[in-house]
Amino acid sequence: MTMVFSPQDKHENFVLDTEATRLNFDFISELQEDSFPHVDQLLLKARKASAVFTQYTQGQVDKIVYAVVRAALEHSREFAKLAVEETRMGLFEDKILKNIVASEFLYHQIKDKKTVNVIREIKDEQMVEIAEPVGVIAALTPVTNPTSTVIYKSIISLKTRNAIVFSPHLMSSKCVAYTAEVLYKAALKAGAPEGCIGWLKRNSKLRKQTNYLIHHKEVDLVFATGGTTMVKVAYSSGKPAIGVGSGNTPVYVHKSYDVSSAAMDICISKTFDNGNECPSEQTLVVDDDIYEQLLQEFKKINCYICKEEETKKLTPVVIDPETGVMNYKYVGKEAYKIAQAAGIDVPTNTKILLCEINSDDKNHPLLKEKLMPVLAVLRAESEGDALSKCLLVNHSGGTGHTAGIFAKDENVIAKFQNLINAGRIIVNQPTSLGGLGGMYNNLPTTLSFGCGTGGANSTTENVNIYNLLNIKRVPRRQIMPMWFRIPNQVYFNPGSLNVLKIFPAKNAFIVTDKTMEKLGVLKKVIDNLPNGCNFKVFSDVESEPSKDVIDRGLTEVSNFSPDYFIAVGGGSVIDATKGIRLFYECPDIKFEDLSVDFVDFRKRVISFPTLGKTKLVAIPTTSGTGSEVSPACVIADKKNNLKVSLFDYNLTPDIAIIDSELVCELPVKPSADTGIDAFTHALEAFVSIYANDFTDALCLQAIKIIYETLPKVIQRPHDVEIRQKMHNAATLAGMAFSNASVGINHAMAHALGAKFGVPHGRANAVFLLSTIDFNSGIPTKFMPFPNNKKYIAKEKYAEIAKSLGSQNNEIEKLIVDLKEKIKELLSKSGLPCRISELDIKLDDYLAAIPDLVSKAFNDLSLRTNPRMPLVEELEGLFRNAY
Amino acid sequence: MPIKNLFNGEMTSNEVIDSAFSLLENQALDRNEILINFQNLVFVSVYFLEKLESFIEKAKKLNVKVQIKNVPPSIYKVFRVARVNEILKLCF
Repeated sequence: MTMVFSPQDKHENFVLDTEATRLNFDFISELQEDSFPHVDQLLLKARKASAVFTQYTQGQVDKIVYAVVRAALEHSREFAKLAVEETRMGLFEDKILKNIVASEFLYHQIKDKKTVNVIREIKDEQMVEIAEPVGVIAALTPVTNPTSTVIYKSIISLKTRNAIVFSPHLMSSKCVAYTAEVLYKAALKAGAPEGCIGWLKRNSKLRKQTNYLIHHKEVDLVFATGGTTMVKVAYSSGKPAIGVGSGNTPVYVHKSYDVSSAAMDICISKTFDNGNECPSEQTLVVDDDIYEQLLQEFKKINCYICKEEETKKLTPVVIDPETGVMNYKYVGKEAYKIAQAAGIDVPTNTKILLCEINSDDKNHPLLKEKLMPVLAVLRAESEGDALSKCLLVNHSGGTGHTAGIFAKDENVIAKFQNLINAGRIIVNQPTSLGGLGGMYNNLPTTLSFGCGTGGANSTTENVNIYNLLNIKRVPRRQIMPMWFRIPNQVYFNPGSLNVLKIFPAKNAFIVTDKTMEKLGVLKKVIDNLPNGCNFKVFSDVESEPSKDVIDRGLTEVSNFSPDYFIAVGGGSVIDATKGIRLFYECPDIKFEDLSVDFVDFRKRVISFPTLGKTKLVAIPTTSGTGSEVSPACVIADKKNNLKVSLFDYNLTPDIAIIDSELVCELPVKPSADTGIDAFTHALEAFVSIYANDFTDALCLQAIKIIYETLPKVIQRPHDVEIRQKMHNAATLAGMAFSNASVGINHAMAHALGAKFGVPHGRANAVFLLSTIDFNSGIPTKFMPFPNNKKYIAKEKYAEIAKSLGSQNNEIEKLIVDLKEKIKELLSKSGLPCRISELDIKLDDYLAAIPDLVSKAFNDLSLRTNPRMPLVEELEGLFRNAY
Repeated sequence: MPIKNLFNGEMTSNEVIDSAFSLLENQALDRNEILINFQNLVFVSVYFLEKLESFIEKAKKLNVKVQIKNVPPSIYKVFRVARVNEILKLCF
């Protein structure tokens, strides 16, 4: 609804008596006043009422609402009569219906709704919503629907335990005051708090008082229904506001719809309260095929089609040429009276005046909002033309309000609802009654139509009880489902390689490196392939495989159609095989997309593809990386000097064969390096924020075995039984970190390794002691989302010490013991425990620290460390590790 | 001396409220200090709030120190939402 007033047009257009002149003078004198004690008193009472209301139960509230609804229904005729008499707008019979809609229909929708305490339980999200009243509401009511708006706003306010104070439009102040008083008395009788409904009375300073009211400190929410100016004032009050504004409803009558039904529905709607309802039809856009037929249908039901000359005469009567908006004198007036004013002779029973508008005249005044039984009609040459014309009307003062369509063609309905910006798009129903909700559809029954940002409003809703509540969300701490995933099949023990023979492989693509070829490991694998299995070997994998290697592997595999991939080698080979298999099965995915960083892989941005066309068999020939059971693969991006970690359980090999006969030839130094890597996996997974009972068991066993076995491997590298223990332990540790991840030690080791080319295990070794100290301290910052509710890193390190035989009972001493045992392990395995023992010069190292810190800080491993390091702490750790 | 059992249960009847505050006002005449215990208060009305405010004002004029203790949370919320600062100042 658009009604723009200035003191001048108020005087000229609708208040022509002497009282109006006096009011105009009063308005000027009001400007000198800045306080209204009786408004203060009204609001203080409302404030107390809203406070007392907080104690009410749902039952008490519902009893009050019922009593008020009853009162509204009992007085609906009286209220209607008063409204028509005072405003001289609309139709008595329809005003009664509006009052009934605002009470009976509204009550039907809200009577069983919860508005006190818990109003909704969202079990899946472990959350409840609790209602908190908004407090004191300043409610502005329109002249077009004064009594029904008071009924509706009072009911939804009481239902939500708010106090409400009405400020009526001057031209409807008497009927508003009377309605509010009747409802207030009914509410009080039913036990409502004193002051829960208040109203400003008709007086010469009403406009100033309204302004004072909406800016008052005791008002919590301004709820404005009315013209654009009023709504703008409400929003500029500095208070939270629900303002609903002007409409200009386009209605598309599509050729697929029954013409006589459309004509009747439009007639019902546009004549409702003499077109006084703001969602009512303003401009019809009609398909050419049915245009003449539709006009004939309108004629049949006593609507009048204006001739071109008559439309010319009518236009300045309907739309004031000076203000450019509808002429207030004719809002809600009968069609014949409007015609009379334009000098057009029509029968008194004329329902609507239809004015055909030339399609070329996009700025025709009648394409604007006109709350009276006058309809503009546009002919559409095509569906596209019709939609564009609807958009034209929609964006001519009614954006966000209401639109309608009559069509059986779902495609055109879909297009219409997508294109038109309206809070309610009414399909195959009268838009005015449809917009009110609760009659033709299940929209919330309302007298306030949110228009969204299109109408400079805060909501597009049919304003309802939920708009008058502060809804408090109470989420319970979620116990996230954890996981434990490992390959389907793990074969172990010396000679277990021969299990390959039982697999139903037909085409095996074997990925390995030159060393495995030289050592004869590849031959052993080939010898153990199933009978009749074709195979192809790709042995170009280098240490730290790059995307280029993956691409070369893909070229090799492209004409082979493997059903099995067999990785034979250390971590680099197994990682490369994971990469080749991934891009072989999913050639369309992009490497860059899969490498997008994440904190929780379950919530990662990218969607990782599902693999399964082929099987991956991992046969590790070192005891350390755990890649044979892990969901990770590291691929070097040489062009950008980066290592990219791909992580997803789809990458986990299907089968792992842990055969120590294949590692006996591994030299001592890499045996120590890889062995300490496995030890670090277990140690870090044990204190990780994702550590759990399943991984803990693996970690402790792995740590124990490695602590006892690694020095023996160094002493007796060809002892196949000792090697098998170490091989098993590395796989156990791999299973643990695959599910609990690692931590700060790995983050620092990755940075050091990348910068100075230090083997990964060795890089891990030099940070072991300092990171245990770091995690054992009281964190400056705790890592969020831990699986444990307490910080237990210290206790867990102590538990490891005990499992390694320490007899101490004090945690501090146990941690000292653990570090001593690790020192001993490193020493026996020929591994360094400080960076100074590596071939790195101090100056070079110090110069590299900023880069090391940066790399480590961005490493994914850091995110599962129990203690979140500050940058300066990380720097300290690097410095102290030399 | 604490005044007990004056404010019990739901204080909704204006007569009951009048009577309770009348007793309280009489006591204020010959005391320097009044300690009101709201422990058993369950529900208050707008009228109760107004009477309590009025009593506090009168006591102030008589130089009687008023203190309110054991305010149940639901009633304390009413005081907070009502922004009755003169009452809130006396609650502990």
